[in-house]
Order: sequence, then structure tokens, then C-alpha cells
Amino acid sequence: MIPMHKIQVFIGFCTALFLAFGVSSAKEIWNFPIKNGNLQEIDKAFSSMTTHKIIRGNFKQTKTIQNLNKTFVSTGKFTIENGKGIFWNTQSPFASQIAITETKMIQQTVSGRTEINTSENVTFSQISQTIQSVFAGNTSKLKANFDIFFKQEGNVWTIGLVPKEPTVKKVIANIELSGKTWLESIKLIDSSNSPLVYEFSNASPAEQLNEEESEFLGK
Amino acid sequence: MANKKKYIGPAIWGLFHAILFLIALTAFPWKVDSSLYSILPQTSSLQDVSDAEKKFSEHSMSELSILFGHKDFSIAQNAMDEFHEKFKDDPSLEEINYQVSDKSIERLQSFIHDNRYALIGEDFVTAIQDSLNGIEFAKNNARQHIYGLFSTADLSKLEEDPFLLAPTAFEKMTLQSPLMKNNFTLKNSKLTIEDSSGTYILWNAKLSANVASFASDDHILQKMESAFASLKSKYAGLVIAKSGVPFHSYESSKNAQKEITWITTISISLVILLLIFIFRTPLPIFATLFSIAISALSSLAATWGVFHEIHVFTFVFGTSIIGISIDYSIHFFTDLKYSANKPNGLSVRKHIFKGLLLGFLTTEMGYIAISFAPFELLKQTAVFTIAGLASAFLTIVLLFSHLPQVAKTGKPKILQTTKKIANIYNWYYAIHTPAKIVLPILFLAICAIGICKLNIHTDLQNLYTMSDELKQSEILAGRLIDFGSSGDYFIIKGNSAEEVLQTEESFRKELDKAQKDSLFKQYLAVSSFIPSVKLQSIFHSTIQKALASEASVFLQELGFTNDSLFKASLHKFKPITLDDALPSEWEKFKKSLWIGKVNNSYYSTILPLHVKKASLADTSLKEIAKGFKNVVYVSKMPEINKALTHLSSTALILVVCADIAIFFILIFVYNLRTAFRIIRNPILASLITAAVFGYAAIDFNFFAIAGVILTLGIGIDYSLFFREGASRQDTTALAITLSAATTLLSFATLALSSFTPVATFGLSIFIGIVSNYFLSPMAQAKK
Repeated sequence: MIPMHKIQVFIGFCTALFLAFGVSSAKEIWNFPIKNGNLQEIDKAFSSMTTHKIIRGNFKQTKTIQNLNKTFVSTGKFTIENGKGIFWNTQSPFASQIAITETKMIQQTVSGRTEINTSENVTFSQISQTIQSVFAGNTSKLKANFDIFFKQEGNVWTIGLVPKEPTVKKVIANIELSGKTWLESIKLIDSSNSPLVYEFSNASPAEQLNEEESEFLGK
Repeated sequence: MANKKKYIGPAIWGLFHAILFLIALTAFPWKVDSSLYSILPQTSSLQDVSDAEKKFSEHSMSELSILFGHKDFSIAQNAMDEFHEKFKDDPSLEEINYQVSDKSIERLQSFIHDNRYALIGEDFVTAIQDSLNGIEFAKNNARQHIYGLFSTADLSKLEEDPFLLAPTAFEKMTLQSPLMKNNFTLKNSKLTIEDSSGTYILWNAKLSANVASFASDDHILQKMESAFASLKSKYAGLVIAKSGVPFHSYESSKNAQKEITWITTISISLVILLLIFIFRTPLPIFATLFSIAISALSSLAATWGVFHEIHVFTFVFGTSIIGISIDYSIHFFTDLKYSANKPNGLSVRKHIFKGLLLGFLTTEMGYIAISFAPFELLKQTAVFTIAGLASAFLTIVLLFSHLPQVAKTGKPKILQTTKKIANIYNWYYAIHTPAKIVLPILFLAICAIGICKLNIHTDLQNLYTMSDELKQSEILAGRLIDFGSSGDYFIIKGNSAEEVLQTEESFRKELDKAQKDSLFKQYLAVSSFIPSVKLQSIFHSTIQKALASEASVFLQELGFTNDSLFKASLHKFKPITLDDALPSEWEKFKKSLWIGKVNNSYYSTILPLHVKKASLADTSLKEIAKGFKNVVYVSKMPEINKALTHLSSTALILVVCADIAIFFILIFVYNLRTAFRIIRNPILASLITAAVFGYAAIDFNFFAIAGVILTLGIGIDYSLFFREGASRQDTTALAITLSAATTLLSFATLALSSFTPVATFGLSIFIGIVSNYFLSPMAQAKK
């Protein structure tokens, strides 16, 4: 009795969009695909991040809009709670906070707060896990959604991610992560070849969330 | 002159059948319907809403979903790719959905950007109406998209859309849509669902309108079944789940065809054996078979002529025409062969004509009454039987009457037995007053106790039994997809598409409250995606009023020098209508919920999902609709059950009226006392049937009641034949015994049907006919 199949197609379409939402590029990284699914090198690169319960640091986000020849820069602080969630506290030029956990996505600006429960939504849940996997180095999750490339030069490692899903690829062409001890930058290239760059600094481990982080990350 | 008169009868017979077949020709091509939906009664008291509801249901009833699952995703994918390749170009299928196009996001983004003022949504517009904080809200919304983390916003059109209304509308329409609350995820551009038993891939389609509903070897669903079997043997461990009404209709149709074949074969075979046993000469047998064939063809011709199609279950119910029509033939030939001093067919006709005519008229009156019941299946069955019986009657009186006398043989021994049956109540007539009064009272008391135990209830869920394989398949598909529809929905009516959308918008405010009260988790409505023109215009004018003057300052903050692109876009605003070209995904979504124009009004549906069972039970949702003149809550299953129960009583009332009319005719033909003696038997037989259902604790449902109605019509014949055949008691009793036996052969086989309604119908008639047979001797004049 129920008109389901057209609705299901629409759902699929939205799903594709969401997956694209998840997550760029020195050309040479794309010459180093991970062989035979061996993720040990990636695990090793992420090890300093995955062995700590909490990591805090500063970030700088640079959005470049090619056709307008504009660049928008924002800065703030980030917190990654290993396997549980990430908290993004943008301070300049516009204050806003966003937290992504296994079960919810919270966004707050001076105009108010929105909260989306991801537990009822498989796609939201997958996206939240994908975003966390990029920041926290969950290699099995990365492997599920991306073709992975890896290069090590001295103590600098670079990881390249290309979405497996064709629909996602239409939105995100590729992602490039690089670092030494910590993840230091993420470069995301969209379909119009406009780069979105995150640069991380002053990363350090911590044992406990502060009051504001706890509020967002659900303590 | 006498010679000419001889041909009048056959000429009338030929004319009658020729007219019937000409009428049938006008209905060519002859259609056979096997859809389960079309046998359901109309459930809404409002005819136009019912038509809209039927259109909506018919649309959704042609949809089918198939899931292929395996522990190893690549195996499930290979199997589904193979399946898709085989069926993607099949003309029996429309709107096949398998791969999600990678261009769909771009198309939707572009559509939403072009119509951002129309689609921005009430929440945003309400927020910017705040004179103190409204403009800051709009700016912060844009800043969040520009500077925040993980924004999906496309900033390339920032100068034209500085407040980033398009990304805001895009998020509302996609990311925050209730449609996102589901189990689906995208894998290799296919909709997939993860489950402990593996990863499942979804494939769905709609059956084309031209697909025959009658099961056959080259039917698309039969081809799919073969493909499933071959894929399962090729890919070990492949799990296939199928869901959708077409699978159920197909399975029922297949079973019904099988049953029609064996019911008819068994009936006819047993009847032929019986006729051979009794008549032992070929003429009565061939003549009877000829009568059956002609009456069956007449039934078909009349039904196609009147309805232009025939439902497969009309065949099943109508199979009994064999049993009823044969009665006349048997009555004729028993008399022709075994009565003394009957030289030919004409004199037989003269002797049996009154009883036959009254029997024919009373049965026809019962069916004519049933034809007024507001239920397509009953109407079809009535027309089918009325025409078949008329044909059988005319064959006897206009054709068979010209037959010469058949070869006489010695009277069979069975005549002795049947004569005893004719005198079965002699002992009763011989007993004295106290016992004579007590016995009928005792009999009625036993019936009354049984009738008190009756459960008069029709529950469709108890009537339809699907095969285990299909049941397991539906359970798995239901668990995986978990769409959350209870089968209940709201129908919105209006004089125009715009009015329907406006009513939806008002009604959705109530639904939002109900959603907050947790009556259901979410709902789907067309106006959530395409607002009314009125609302779109309000959105546009509010944005113009609140943001136009601030755009210049904000653009400067973002590094742009002028606001001309923004202002030009405000001028270009044009509301979207449902007739506009929508993105393909929205178009499909609209098709599912938008019913469109039906009988000069417009309709749509709103689908509440994951409704709490308590909300269904306590009719909370129905209450919400009550406050809106043009909103009707449709709760299909209880309404169908209620409609069938109502239909039962309507049909009973119609038949009681017919019986009253018959009673008056009988008074006119005989007298009050005789009329009472004749009509008493079928009524008592009906009471016995009801009592047996009561004692056996079987639901006395619509189909049982339909059986009782038929019993009243057939049963009266036996009483009439006994009354009229008093002078030839032995042959009359034999004719009635044979009639009852052949009718029982038809209905007893119906009782063995796997389709519960048919079996219940058969059982009810079986009990009724047996009772009528044994009660009918009471119609004879007392000795």
C-alpha cells in the first residue's frame, strides 16, 4: 500500500550528499597507493593520536573560492576525544561551536543551537564516524570509504584519501592529510578544484575534558 | 402454423444468447483482474475521497521492492547486477531504481539555488522577522556557513546570495529531512542496508499499467521467480527478500487459477459420473453438459458486457453456477426418463414449468438483491449467476422441451430411497400434540444457543494467508527497510492544487504538535518540499523586506563592492508550482504522495511514519483530522473490516426484502399457509448454518453471510419442487436429491479452497444446502 520506492531513491540521493560531506594535494601522493590493504603504516602514523585519550590544539581553516578569487580564514581550538567525538570551537572572525559524536551533531552560534540525533539516521552516523576517523585516525573506517595512499619522507607522513563512492567524488575530489607526530594539516579539494585547508598547531594530549567540551561532547 | 410455432422457442433462445454475446463483444478486449485491492470494498463514505484513495492505492499497489543480500557484498552486487541487466529494459516495468545518479546532487543544488526564496522554509523566515535580531540571525547563518567546520555550502555564488539562503534551504531539504531517518547507506552508487546476516542491495520498480494481472508463464513476476531461483543456485548463500502487493496478487491469482481448474474438473467429473449412474443414456448427459457450457459462456458474456472486466474471484465464486444450473437440467431429465406417461420434452416442461419458474425467479430475486450491494465482487458474482441461470432456464424451457423422449429403462433402486426421503417427516405428522410442539421448540432452542455463540466479525488479516516463503520475505524486507508505514494516511482535498497545499500547510502545524507529543516519529508531505504559492510569496516578501536593505553592508563585510546581483535575484523571483519541472528525485517523491485531479477536485496524501500502536488504537490521529473539513484520515484495514461487516448486513437486508417479496408472490400463487411452508425451510436452513458456525467457533464473516444469502435463494427451489411434484413424488425426490448432490459437489469443493474467504463461503453453503435438502420435504402438502 505504501509508495516507498520513489521515497527510497530520494533517500539514496540524500545519502550520497551526506557521504560527500565527510571529508586534496601534492600530486605525488597519488602515486603511492596502500598495497594489499596493508594499513600498518597508517596506524603507525596515527599512533601518537590514537594512544591518547584526548588531544587539544589550535586550528586555522582557509577556504578558497576560485571563481570569486576570495579566501576566508577562520581560527580557533579543537578537541579530539579518541573514539568518542570531536569539538570544534571557532573563535575568529565568527564565534561558533560544533561537536560531532557517535550519537549527535551539535552546532551553536550566537543565534542559537541546533542538535541532530544521529542514532536514528544511519547516514548521519556514518558521516560522524567518517569525520572522526579522519581526525582520530581510525584506519578501518577510512578504508571502508576511501581508496588510501601513503607516503613517508623522513619523519613527515602524507596520507591521500579518494572517496570510493562516485557520487561522493562529485563533491569531494580528494583529501590529503599530513603530519609528523601529530596531524598537522588536512587539505580537501572539492569538485570545482577549490581547496579547503586545515592547519593544526600546538597539539597536546590531555586527560580530561573541560566544562565546555563536556557540555558538547555529552559528559 | 404449428410448425412455425415450434421454432419460436429456439429462436428466442438464440436471440437471448446472441444479444448476450453481442454485449460482450462491445467490452472487447476482455479483461481479467486478479488484483487483491480490487476485491476490497469502498471504505470511505465520501465517494470522491474514496476515488482519490483508490487512485493512490492503485498507484502504490503496483510498486515492488527486491533486496539481495550476502555476507560478501560483492556477491550480492554481482547477483543484483545480473538481475538488473536482465530486467532493466523489460517493457512490463517502469521507473526502475537501482543506481543513484552521481549528477543528482548538482541538479538539486542548482534547483534549490534558483528557487531559494521559495524554498527557504518557515523557520528561517520567522527568525528574520524579529525586528531586533532578525538581520543578525541571517548574517550569522551565512557566517556559520562561511567560517564553520564541515559546511556543505557552495560559496561560489556568494555575491548573488550573500545570506547563503540556497545552502540553508539545501540543508533543510536534504540533511534535515525526515527522509534521512532510515537504514540506508550508499555503496557503489547503490542503496544498501547492513544487517547481521549481510549487506543487502535494494532494487525497486513499478509494474506497467499494461501488465496482465492473470498469472501466466511469461508474466514478468514468473520470469523474476525463475531468475531468483537461478541466481540462488549460482550464488550460494544469496538471500532474496521481495516485497510489494504485485507479488501477493500474483501468488493469489496463480493459486486461484489452479483452484478453478481442479474445482471445475472435480465438479464436472463427479457430476458426469452421477449422471451416467442415474440416466445411463448419453442424451441427458450431453444435453446437461451443453446447458452448463452455454450458461457459463452466458455468465462470462454478461459480466464482461456489464463490467468490461471480470475478477478472478468472481470465477471462483461463480464456479457454483455449474451446481445450480445443473439442477434444472436434472429436474427435466429425471422427469423425462422416469415419470410415467411423459411422451416428450413438451409434456415434461408442462409438468415442471411452474415449479421451475418459481424456483428460477426466487433464486434470481436473491441474486438481483445481492447485485445492489455496494461491493464490486458481489455485483459481478450476482450478474455472473443471474445471466448463467437465465441461460440454463431458457435452455430447458425453450430448447430441451423439443427433445424426444429418451429411452426408458427400468426404474433405478435409488427411487425407492429418495421416496423415503420425501416421506421422512411422516413420523412427525403422526405424533400427538405435546411432542409435536416440544420438538420444534427444542430444535429452535438448540439453534438459538448456537446463534448466541456466533462471532459476527470480518477480519481481513484472518482471511488472507500468504505462503510461508512470501511471508518470510516480507518480514525480512520489513525489518531491513523499516519504512515505518502503518498503512494509515491522511487524504487532503481542495478545489485546486494550491488549495490542497495550503490545507496541508495548516494541517501540518497540528501534525508537528502531534509529532512533539510522540504520536509518531515523522511524516511525509508534498508541501514540505513544494510550499503553496501563497507561502512562497510570503517567504519572498519577508526576505525582501528584512534583508534587502542590509545586503550591501554585509557584502562589504565579505569583501564585495555592490549588491546589484542580489537585488536582481530578488526581482527575478517566480514561485514554483507542481506543474514545473522538478529535480527527478523530487518528481518521483511527488508522484508517490500527490494524487492530483479526481472528479473535479484535487487530492494529496500525508503519510505518518512509525506511528505508535497506541495512537492507532486510540484514534488520536483520526481526531487530528477531524478539525479539518478537507482532511480525511484513512485507516485501511479497520475500515475495510468495518465496510465488509456493514456490507454483510446490507446484503442480508436486501435478501430479507427479496424474501418478503417472494413470500408475497407465493401467497399470490398459492395461499398464506403454503407460502409459509415453502419459505420456512430455507430460513430454518440459514439458522442451522449460523448455529453450526457458532458451535464450531468459526467467525461468521462476510463470506459466510454471503453463503447464507445464496442458500436462501437455492434452498427455496427444493421446497417449490417438492410442493409442485406431489403427483410424481418418487421422481421429484430423485430430482431434488440429484440437484442437491450436484450443488454440494460444487460447494463442497469450494470449501476445500486454500483461499479462506472462498472456503468459508463454500462451507456456509454446504451446511445450508444439506439442511435445505433435509428440510424441503416439509414443503409437501400434509397427508
